[in-house]
Amino acid sequence: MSRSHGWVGKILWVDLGERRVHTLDTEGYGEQYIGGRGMAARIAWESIPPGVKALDPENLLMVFTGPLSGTTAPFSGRTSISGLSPQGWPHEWYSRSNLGGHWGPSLKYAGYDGLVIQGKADKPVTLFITEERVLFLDASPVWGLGTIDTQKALMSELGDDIRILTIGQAGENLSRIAIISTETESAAGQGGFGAVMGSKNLKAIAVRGVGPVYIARPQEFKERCNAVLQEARTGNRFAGAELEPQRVKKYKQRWQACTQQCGMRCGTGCRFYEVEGALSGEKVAGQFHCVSNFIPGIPNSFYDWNLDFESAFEIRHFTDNYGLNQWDLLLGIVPWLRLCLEAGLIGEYNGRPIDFNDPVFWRTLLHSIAYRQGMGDALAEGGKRAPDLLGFGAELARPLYAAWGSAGHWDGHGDRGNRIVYPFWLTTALQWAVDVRDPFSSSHSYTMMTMHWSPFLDEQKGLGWDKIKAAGERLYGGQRAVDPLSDYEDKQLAAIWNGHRSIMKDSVPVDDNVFPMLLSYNSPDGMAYAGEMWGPDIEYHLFVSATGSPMTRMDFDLACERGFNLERAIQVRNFLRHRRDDETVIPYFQYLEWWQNPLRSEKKGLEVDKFLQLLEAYYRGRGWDIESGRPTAHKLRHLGLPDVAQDLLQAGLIEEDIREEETLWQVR
Amino acid sequence: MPNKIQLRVDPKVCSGCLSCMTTCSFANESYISLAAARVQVVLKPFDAVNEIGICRQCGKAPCALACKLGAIRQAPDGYWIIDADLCDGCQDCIPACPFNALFVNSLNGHVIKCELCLGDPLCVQACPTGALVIRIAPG
Repeated sequence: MSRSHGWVGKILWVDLGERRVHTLDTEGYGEQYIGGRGMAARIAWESIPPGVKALDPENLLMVFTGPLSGTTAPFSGRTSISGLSPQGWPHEWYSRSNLGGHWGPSLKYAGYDGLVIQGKADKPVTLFITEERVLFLDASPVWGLGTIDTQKALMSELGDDIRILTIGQAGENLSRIAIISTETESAAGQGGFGAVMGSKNLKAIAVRGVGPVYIARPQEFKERCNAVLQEARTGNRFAGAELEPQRVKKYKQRWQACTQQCGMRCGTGCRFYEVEGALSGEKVAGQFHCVSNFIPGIPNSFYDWNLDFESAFEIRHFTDNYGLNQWDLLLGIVPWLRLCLEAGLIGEYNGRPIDFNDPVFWRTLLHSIAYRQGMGDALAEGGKRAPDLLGFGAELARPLYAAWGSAGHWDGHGDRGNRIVYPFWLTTALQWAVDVRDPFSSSHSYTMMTMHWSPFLDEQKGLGWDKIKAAGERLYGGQRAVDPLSDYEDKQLAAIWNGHRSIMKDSVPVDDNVFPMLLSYNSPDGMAYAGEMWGPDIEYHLFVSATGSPMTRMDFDLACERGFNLERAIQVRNFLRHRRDDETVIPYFQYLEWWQNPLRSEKKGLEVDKFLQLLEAYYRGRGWDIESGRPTAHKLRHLGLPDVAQDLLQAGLIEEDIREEETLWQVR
Repeated sequence: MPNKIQLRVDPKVCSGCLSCMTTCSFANESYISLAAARVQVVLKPFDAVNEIGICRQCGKAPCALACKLGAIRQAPDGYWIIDADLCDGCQDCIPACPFNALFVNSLNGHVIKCELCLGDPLCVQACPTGALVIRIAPG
């Protein structure tokens, strides 16, 4: 491929067993799939056959950038990781995760749009990728080290201009909740992909690159980037939170970009500190961000433990260094252990009293999981599998684990930290139902729209429901999708729309906290605009300016739908995914919701018959077969996937077209 | 004397987003590259402070004094620019700078430094935290 724009043109394919590399042209994948996650799905369809398991050498670890990575596009620095997932339940589904930092842009600068890793090295290796060559370095000096210690060692050996993906002891010991990490807390947390690296004897992937990346329409791209930045910095009230003055001095607190091109002081509170660790006696640096904010405990809540700032900060460091998934720890394992303790099912852990107010207990717990010691051996399998392995507490875990081996998140039930109320969790229940992991790695926009932009967060400052509903009509084609007084109507519209957006975000890529830019305090109608661009169209405009692609807006959306359907097709072919699987989320959502909608008279749980109708409306909206919940051959061909349609038809897994129009929930 | 434009650099608040570097390279070249940036942020992911290398537009610039060809000269607003027609790439200026603020673009071999975008530096607009701020010193 000659010089391309946005893309750099090549995908690097590494066979660890053979110690050989070759490249693919991005061109064959890029235009069809618009970027990382979509392209990875295509490669998975072609190269991960049924029967392969997550920790088999035949599993592919795919690390991808997109056409905006490494450019000046605001909030474009994240990296997408795909492959069969050890954390997946009840199957090791084809899944994905993504992480920030600077690794993805550096891979682009080194000349690759993506990286595919197959096979297993005969002994521990570090891959070192530069513009000139790919080296297989002996990783024995860093095997056994944590993620941060590994990076420090490699930077001192190879230079401080390299960026590194690495695993800690958890990944080496094949924990299903092992992360892939870069820098201090940027991690592909969910999925257990750290164990995939561990299973391949791959300790780290270092990359050095400086560019160049070319842009098809430079002036237009610059103007669009500036307009996006301006709107992001001024249009919402989540940006512009302040630092805490007492900690600025004491712990050198500052803003931290969780990823390259983060162009604002993030409202999620990405603050970086340097603290003397009382437990380790060492200086630890990093940030409280996202789920790690649960580590200190939240007084008078479900997470009612109490650690001081310094101890919690160091415990955060231990989770990162061991390479453990904070989502599973903090929303699954720790709450479950506390419930077991309250119920008298356990009294101590590995011979030690259980006390979550004690930082030493935390360190013991984390160490035991990373090294699979005692009960930690079961917990290393993840909070979903652990109760069965330990032989207690399965009933107590059920209300915490929404589905697919992931603890609840933005669902109004198991996750008691992110407030969402009926009827809005019906949309997220649909998102959960058709996914293979916690959907909210790249799918916050609906929950933000209904809970964070609305009067539900702040009656004075929130956008009024009239504006939210008008936006719902314009975005999803139904204002009842976002109406707090609605019930099951139109929720499928929002779920389908956000499913495609998740693919879009993980592909081009853009950050989930800022994109899609839907709402704003800057405009009379409450919707976001950046220059001449309507907020929801920004990703498309940046994509075509960067790549020069002739794609229309509709083509762009179709590419996202193509990616979504292809991922579903992989689950169908490799794991016989079926409507029956989707329905397994139902009992979890039947529990009474955790918070009550302030405009309603009582708390709600999911009503099965109504939800089945909603699920069918979802399938119908997708053009999927209602009985099986699978894409039809007709639909796949329409999306430009005739080979996928053919293979699934031949295997007898899908129907030619939708079989019947009547609702099945009534006759089942 | 006209007002003098200077950059105030505060590495303590740099968030490490590298927006300054990508914006700078794209403003000065036809591509985006960390090698072409006239501001170089060295990320220190395990320390509190990143390093920022960028020209402070010294009054008496050691780099200009070190240049035997007179290729580094001062613009009327006080900032120093490299005359690419005169520069022979000897790199004598690089060790002369006390701020490590002159670089070689490894993609084309050119010696580069911040020229303040001729008065309106784009890195300052891109910086979200105030690590790079414009200061106008009265002439």
